[in-house]
Amino acid sequence: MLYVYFMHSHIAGVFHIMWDMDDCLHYKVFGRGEKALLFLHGWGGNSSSFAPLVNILKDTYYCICPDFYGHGETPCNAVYDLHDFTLGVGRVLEREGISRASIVAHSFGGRVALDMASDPRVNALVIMAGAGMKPRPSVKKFARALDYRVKKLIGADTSRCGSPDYKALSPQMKATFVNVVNTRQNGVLGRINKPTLLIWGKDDSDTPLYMAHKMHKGISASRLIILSGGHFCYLDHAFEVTGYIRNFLNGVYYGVDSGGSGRHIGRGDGNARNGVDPACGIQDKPQ
Amino acid sequence: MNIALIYGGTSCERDVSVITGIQAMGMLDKFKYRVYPVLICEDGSMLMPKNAGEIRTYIGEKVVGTPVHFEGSELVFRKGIRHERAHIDCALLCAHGGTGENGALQGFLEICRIPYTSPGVEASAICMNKITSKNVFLGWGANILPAAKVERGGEEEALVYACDLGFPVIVKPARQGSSIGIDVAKDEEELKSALQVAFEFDDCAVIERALENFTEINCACVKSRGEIIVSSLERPVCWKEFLTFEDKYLSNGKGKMSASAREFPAKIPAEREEYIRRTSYDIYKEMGMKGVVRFDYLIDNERGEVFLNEANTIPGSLASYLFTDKGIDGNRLMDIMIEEAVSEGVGKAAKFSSDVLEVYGAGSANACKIAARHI
Repeated sequence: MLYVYFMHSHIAGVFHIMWDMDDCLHYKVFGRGEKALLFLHGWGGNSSSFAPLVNILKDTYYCICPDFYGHGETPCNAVYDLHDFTLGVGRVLEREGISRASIVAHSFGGRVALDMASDPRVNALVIMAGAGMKPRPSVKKFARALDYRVKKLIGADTSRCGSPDYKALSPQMKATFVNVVNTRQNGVLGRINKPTLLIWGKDDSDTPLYMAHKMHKGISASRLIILSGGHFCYLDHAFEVTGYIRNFLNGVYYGVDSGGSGRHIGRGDGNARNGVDPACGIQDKPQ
Repeated sequence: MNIALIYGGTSCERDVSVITGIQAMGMLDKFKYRVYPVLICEDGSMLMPKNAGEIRTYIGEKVVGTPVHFEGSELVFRKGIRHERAHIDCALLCAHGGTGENGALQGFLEICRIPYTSPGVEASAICMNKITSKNVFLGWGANILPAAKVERGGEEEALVYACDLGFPVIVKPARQGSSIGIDVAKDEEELKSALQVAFEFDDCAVIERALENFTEINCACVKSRGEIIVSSLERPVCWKEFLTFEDKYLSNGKGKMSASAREFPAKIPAEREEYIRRTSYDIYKEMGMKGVVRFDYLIDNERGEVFLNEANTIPGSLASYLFTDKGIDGNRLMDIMIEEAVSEGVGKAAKFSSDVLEVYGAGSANACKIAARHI
């Protein structure tokens, strides 16, 4: 750990070592049990973002909900990059003495989850509407980028450029945000060998469905569940989502006895999967 | 793996069974199992309801669905104009009370050679009857409340017995689940009316001493990979008691109390807890049960005695809430039950050949007797 901070110090300055040594992410814990779940919230969220899920899952899981830097009760004392977030979360696990945990992540938390996947303490990933994939270029995005470049070039006021997420931030957080959103993680997918459950909203506009398919294709042991709803569909279907998470994690902890016919279950199986939009479905990866 | 989820039934507990069925449907892993919901209707026919996972389906006059039936271990149903068949690997039983829990459904599935998730015919039948079960529990060394059987027309004997025990007594139909038809009688008059109520539901009733100051305790067992898991104890708090508690302590409180009407794990003295857990384990083991069985106990608060009241072989919600402190959630419990049922399989009878038919065919009138010598 110390070594890492020294590496870090070359970039961020010696002062930050001290800070980094002391400031741990603020976190809350709920529930009990030997099986630990680590909840990683999205950008602009905090440790309570998962409250509906945690309330259900805490009966059998030990739920750890950290606040990321600059979110909830954790301050932002420096400019961070994605890996700092991962290290911060790692320190939370260390402090809790957890040797095996599964990650449940949403949106930005998904980036941290992908980065943390190589940590030996992590045994499984649940990524809900996770970010990290390279977005497809679009005319709108191009126009906005052009607008910013031109304004910058002619020295005009650029303060109105940028997403609402970005504009709401302090200068340090702005720099952190830029670091984070410009990290592309398409490359790490192939290296992830942990079982992964992907849960996506069909009409997600922040992390569109193609990102889910990209992750599903890239991660060898992944399952994709598509629900109705948008970026926060996990809140609309809390019971359903916790059911999927429980079943998935049971497979991780107790071994999957698939019995052969599991893969047929998906679209259009009306009787088995009622109450779900027929356009949504479960896709298991042929191994 | 194809799972037939059998629920509904003809008993008074049909609606509760529908709820358990819907809960189980939600808990089963869709990646592992293909679920075929099979609702047993009031007329005894079987139906695969449309939108089986939604409660709305069951509210109202008639449930819409496809008629299904079993042919051996295959479930036959119509899809469009074609008849489809699905080989059922395991039946998950959620039918409380009546023929769903008394061994009849279990027997039917055994004939069909479908593994199922409840205790077998024998244990189911014994636990269903409150009198037989008491005798059997007593035989295995459990402490029970003394009780007497009253048949229709035996009201006078009942009165003698009730006087022997001393009022108040509790009157229950012998083969009815939940608290349906159960009444407490404080005197002769009340005994008569209570018996009348009980006979509405069954030809046979049970009279036992009513405890006035008691604590209810529930404890469940499940077999997983051949090993019996005994749950922690739960003290259900009845709604009335809960409300009075709220009136007493929270009338001036600001926040609303979280409405969990139970105490889990129950706080009771360690030696009693040990006794309850051991008794549950012993009975589950000795009766050769499988699946989830919930044992209901009563503790006499005055004398401190613990009584085994009854065993539910298909408990409500499959008692999934009793195992959470062991890290077993409802979803895992479904896996455990199915895994165990499938691994135990259906009983394999040894093949046996005889020549009785030939002997009979040869014109011998007492073929059975002759052949019996070989048998």
